[in-house]
Amino acid sequence: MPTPTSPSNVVDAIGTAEVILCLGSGGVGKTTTAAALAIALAGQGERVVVLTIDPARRLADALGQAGGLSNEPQLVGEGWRQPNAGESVPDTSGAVWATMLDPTETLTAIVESEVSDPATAKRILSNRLFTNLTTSLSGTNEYMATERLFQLVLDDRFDRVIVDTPPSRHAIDFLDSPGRLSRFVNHRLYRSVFAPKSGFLKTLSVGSQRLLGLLGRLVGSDLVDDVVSFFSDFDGLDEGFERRATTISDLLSSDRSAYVLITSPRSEPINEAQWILENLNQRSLDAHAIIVNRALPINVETGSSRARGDGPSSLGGEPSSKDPLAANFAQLSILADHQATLVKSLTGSFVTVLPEQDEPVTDLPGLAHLASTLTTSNKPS
Amino acid sequence: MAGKGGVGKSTVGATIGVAAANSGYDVLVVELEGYSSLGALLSTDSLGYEETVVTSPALTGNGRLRARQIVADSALNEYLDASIVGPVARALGSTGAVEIVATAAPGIRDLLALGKIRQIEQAATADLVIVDAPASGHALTFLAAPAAIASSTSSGPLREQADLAIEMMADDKRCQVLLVTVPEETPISETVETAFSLEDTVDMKLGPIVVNGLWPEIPGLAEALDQATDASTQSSVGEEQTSKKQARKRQTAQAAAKQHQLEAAAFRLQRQASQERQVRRLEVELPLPQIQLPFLFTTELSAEHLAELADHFTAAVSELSDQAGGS
Repeated sequence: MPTPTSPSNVVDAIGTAEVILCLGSGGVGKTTTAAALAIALAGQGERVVVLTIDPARRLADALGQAGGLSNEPQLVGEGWRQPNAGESVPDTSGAVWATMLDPTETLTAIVESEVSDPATAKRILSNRLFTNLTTSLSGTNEYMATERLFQLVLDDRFDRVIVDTPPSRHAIDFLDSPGRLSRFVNHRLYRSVFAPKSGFLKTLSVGSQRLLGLLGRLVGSDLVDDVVSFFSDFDGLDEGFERRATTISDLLSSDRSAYVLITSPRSEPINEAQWILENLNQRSLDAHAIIVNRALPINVETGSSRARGDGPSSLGGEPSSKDPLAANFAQLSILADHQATLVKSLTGSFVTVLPEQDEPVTDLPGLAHLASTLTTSNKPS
Repeated sequence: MAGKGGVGKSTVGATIGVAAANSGYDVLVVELEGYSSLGALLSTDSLGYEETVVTSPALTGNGRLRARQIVADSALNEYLDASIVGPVARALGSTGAVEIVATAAPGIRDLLALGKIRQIEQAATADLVIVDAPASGHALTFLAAPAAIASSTSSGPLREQADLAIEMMADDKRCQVLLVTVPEETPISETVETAFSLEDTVDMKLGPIVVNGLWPEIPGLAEALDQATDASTQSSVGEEQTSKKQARKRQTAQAAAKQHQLEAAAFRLQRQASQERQVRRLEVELPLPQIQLPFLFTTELSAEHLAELADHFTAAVSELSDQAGGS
């Protein structure tokens, strides 16, 4: 039941959080919604940056200048600004920036700022284990997104940062990712095998050397050399990484961050959404808003026999099996009923249901239209 | 099978498995990521590393359907365990070396998964092996792994594995890629992109594109909508003559219900038209045969539905081979 303090739209529900994390499984319109949310906030005079992970090309084209998006935030063109009928003087103080995560560039920037000795920095950056970290260590993409998010939070140009989290098996991995790299580097076993013993000579133990010889034969000795040199160069650097990981984790679990769950009314995305909600709750967090995209725009009285197509035949028309209108209505009603049931299973957060669009949103006016639905009162029945 | 998340790749995998088994083949469906819904679809609780014989009511022929999982890390573990000796090595082999090696040379994990698939193929215990590959972006990296490793390693056990995988993948009698998509703007664009990238980076034959989730036509729906729209404009004049309150109320409810039917019909026709446009765009941008599977208006996919999809698949395949001259 709505209470006087309950929010009336998504933007209300988010409140004043400076970091907005969009969570959800793939294919539910997460990136588009994140961009629309940025525009909705900018429309209220805020300066917002949206960090996208893997936008569809046409969306990236719409947000970016010629050549798409890059790791450096770009000011989004003016096409999203809507003449505001309610106000005599339109608020033009808001602005939207868009950026696309480049994990390698993000990690490079961190190493360059953390490593004071240029020769060591160069050695780390050309190490194969290191260059592959961003693409192959599971969870690194999420981790780089949190690092990038942190850089953007510190950037004075922006009031708010909206993050479109990377597609992963489970979107919640994002929350565990800040410590990913330091956990990897500090793994007891790796250190015992690969890291040189402290002391003047910095040599590897005999057991380690035998193992490395074996590994070298299996996967190539160049690779093993790279691994050893990586752990040696990283010695001492991990403290900085760990400290930042703690800061970022704290930020993500504080009230400076808001979570928006994006889903779609089909069994799999809704199950995933439920799972994400449970995991947020386990961390004493909650979704500030749930956006259900792509609902069937069909008007049915859910659960009624009429919705099943029995009704129309009593209207004096043909029996439903012979009446194509009734037959179609019955089929769509099954779907709409199912969707309504799925949506009802999402409880505890502000839920808004957006109807399915025939064509995907690929331009700024389209995003602005979507943004307007996030700021107008929209309650599920 | 490869395709973007949310296009029903697992459903299509189960469909093809059932279709082939019902045509008399001995089929093994392999789930690669461990998170697909293949197990649930085939009514086996969860797929494990060992094969399970599927006993679904959807299976009506004299073929056989089995399913299993391949976990890339387990394949890597198996490989390291078999190759590494010594106590320190064993300790690392079972826990940490996997991550280090897989991180330093990411292709190794994928290569060993492909190696495992090749091993299954070579064992020849199945007529057909269907692999539910990782989602699109990862599928490319996955399939390109053997070539990447072959180009960076000149000899050794990994190079041998890579060469064997490449040999299997390049032979279209042994291995083909089936791209799965749905008739919507973004998935179709990404399918076209994936197809071209695959052609550029991996020497593999693309099989037909599976277009999943086409809304079936309801005969006479467009005509009925036209007629009803005309009729409702006329009848609204007649309604004015009714004087009784009750009757008018009933008529209003009826009119609203009718109106909802008309809106639903308009939506359906619009959706079908937009799907049709996307299918045509795919035909133009990617000149490959298509296998179309219908969208089923159901809340859960039952064995009955799976059998229905399998029948559609079989019919589409025989139509394709008729067009190709019965080959």
